Amino acid sequence: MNSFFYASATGWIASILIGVVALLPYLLRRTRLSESLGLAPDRERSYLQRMWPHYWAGYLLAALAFAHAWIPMSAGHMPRTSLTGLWLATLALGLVFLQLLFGLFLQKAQETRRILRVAHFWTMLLISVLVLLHLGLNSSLFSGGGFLSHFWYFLQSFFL
Amino acid sequence: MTETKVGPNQGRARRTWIVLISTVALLVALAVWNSARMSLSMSTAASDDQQFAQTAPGTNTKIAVEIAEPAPEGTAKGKLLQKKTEEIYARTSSSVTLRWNAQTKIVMGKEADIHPGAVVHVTGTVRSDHTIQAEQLVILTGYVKVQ
Repeated sequence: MNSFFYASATGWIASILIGVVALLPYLLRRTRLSESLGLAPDRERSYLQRMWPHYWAGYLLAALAFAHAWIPMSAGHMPRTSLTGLWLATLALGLVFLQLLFGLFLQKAQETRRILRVAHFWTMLLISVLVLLHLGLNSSLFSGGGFLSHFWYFLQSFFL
Repeated sequence: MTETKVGPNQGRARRTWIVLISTVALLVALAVWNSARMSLSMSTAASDDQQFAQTAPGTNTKIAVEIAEPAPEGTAKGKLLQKKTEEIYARTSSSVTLRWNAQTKIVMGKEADIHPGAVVHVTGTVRSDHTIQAEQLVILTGYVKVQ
């Protein structure tokens, strides 16, 4: 059951990291949130220099998400679970790597910076939604088979 | 000796960061603990035909069963499985009848997953008729191989 443990642990830690990675930019620059928490940014360093925890948490997230997908696939067998949830997770994994590229370009970009920031923000939201759906459809924590499975089947039977 | 002065704002920022990092560390620890707990609930004590046949009524037992035929109203018949490795189980000749009810906790799946061919880890009590009254059923189908 080791593969289950590693797949489960990496998946949950990656889910927590999504929240951390998304929250860090709001804590590392002067925002209402950072001011209310007393996290006044250090003015000696530029915003991009202060963002190093966001970068490294992002890289770690990508590595954990990849490991989470790789472990059950390399084990050669998959539990009976929602295929829709797995496709949504695959899309989320692809978007995590795209998000890394956006982040890397954002560190250098000058002219396209605004567009890239908008894309970076909306990709983060999309990843979060996809991961929540994946958790609902595939996680054993939510009522065994996944409480969203029932909702998904209801939607399919209603619209198709 | 030099002394670093920490202003009130810096002190507050430091405390906030400590709280935030501790919260994340706690969440990660909870995630690992939950994964380990689920993983342990999927592992079974090794049982062979003889051990199972000698189990006295009223004894709590943990066994793995491959469902052969489901019966109505929360019962199913199957073959006792013997654990070879963490992921490989072997069929035995012992037949087992499981009973469960609304109080039975079904983990890693739902009642509909208890069908012919399904592999289930059962925690329960041996009844006088040598059937098992399940307290917890963990659906192992897909996670283990049966030989």
